[in-house]
Amino acid sequence: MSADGHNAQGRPVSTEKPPAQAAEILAAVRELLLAASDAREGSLRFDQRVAARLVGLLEREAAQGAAAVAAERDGLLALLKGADAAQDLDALRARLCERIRRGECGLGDAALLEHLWRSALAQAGIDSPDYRWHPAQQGGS
Amino acid sequence: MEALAQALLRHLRAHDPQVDALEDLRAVTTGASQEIWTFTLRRGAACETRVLRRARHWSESSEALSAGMGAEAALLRLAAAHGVPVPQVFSELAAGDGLGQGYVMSHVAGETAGPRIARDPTLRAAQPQLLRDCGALLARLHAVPRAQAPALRHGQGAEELAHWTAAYRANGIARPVFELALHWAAEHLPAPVAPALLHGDLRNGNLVVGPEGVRAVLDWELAHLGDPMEDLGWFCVNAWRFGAAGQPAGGWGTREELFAAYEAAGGAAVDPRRVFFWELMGNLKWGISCDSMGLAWRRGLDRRIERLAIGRRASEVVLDLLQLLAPREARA
Repeated sequence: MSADGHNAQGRPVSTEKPPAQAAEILAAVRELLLAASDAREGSLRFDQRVAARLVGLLEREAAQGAAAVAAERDGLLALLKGADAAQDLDALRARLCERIRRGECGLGDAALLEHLWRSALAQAGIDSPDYRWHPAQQGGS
Repeated sequence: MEALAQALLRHLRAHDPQVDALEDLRAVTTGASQEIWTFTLRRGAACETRVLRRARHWSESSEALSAGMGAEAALLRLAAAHGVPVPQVFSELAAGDGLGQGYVMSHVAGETAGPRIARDPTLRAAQPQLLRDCGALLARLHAVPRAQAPALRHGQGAEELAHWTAAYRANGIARPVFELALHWAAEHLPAPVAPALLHGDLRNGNLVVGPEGVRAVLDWELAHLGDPMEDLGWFCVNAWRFGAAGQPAGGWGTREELFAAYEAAGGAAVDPRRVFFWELMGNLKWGISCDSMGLAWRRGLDRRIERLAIGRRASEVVLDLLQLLAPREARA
């Protein structure tokens, strides 16, 4: 892989896990709780609520994450015929991204859309279960 | 903070010798690229709340998009002269002040938080007026002659798409739905139009409002010259409807109501397809920014926990983009 993250064919490789991995969230929450014990600033109250929401996110990830990852992997392997099943999720996502970028699959592909919707709903169910993306939904903002 | 207070007091006295004291200087929790402080100014028997806005850049990418503090102050004065409600600029920071770049402006009292505007009964009742006010102020802003505007970057469809494609690739996070959106945008680029002065970040969340309507437009950092439909599309991004997904224009009404208010105030004829392009681009920009903020935490550029948390909000935008590109019904 070249220094700017491209492989030998000049295609970008996914070099980053998406932000807020579990270990990072725990580190941030730990740093915050240490700081909060000395807190006199109101902004730390805001941060404490953010931290609490992130802990809730981790609880959902513990309960739903493994199934979501497995379903997304299965979906990607079905779409990427011939893909190496040993690759991690981010590498498989990067391969799908490359196909979309080159126009090899797109909005006309029902199987692609089904996979993307299913994966998106599963991930949002962990990250933001109350998020309203459709007018018909009830619940918090 | 003591050094800041002393330097600020010197600056304020240099512009107004009648200033006696500065009290209660406090930082306001906001975005990563500016510091915003409020303080109380004492002049004789009088007390006033004012705001200090200072530059702080957390990435080259954000600096490239920023108008700069001098341009912001000039824009506030220009907007006021053209009937757009804004805070009053009192003084601009000079190099010798030791305060960096920025300016001191009035504090406009009122509500800024989207969820509170949704919950408070008097503000909820004001939402149709708020929407009309936003349409009208955008029309007046877009009508400002370009010759009067400070030097600002130009950005229409091609430039914005190029910038955000590069930002997405630089993040190195593989998001198939973002790729779909970038691909769609490249295939549906609107033709360039006569550039207008754009706010660049007008949304529910950057406005001070009251029961009578919009009191001030804040956060002019992303102002640039471009396609007026961009400001209308950005306003309709789902993230700042604060849960009112069925009210696309800021969570306050329909797109048609926003467009009607815009045109009634002298705005150009709205092209809904161009607005759709910009609404999609707006969602995409916000999603890429969520990833960027999460990465800024990872790289130690900004260790506030809020930045890390925003990294997990990209999944909201993935849903919003899918709903724009390949809509489906929500299951209960």
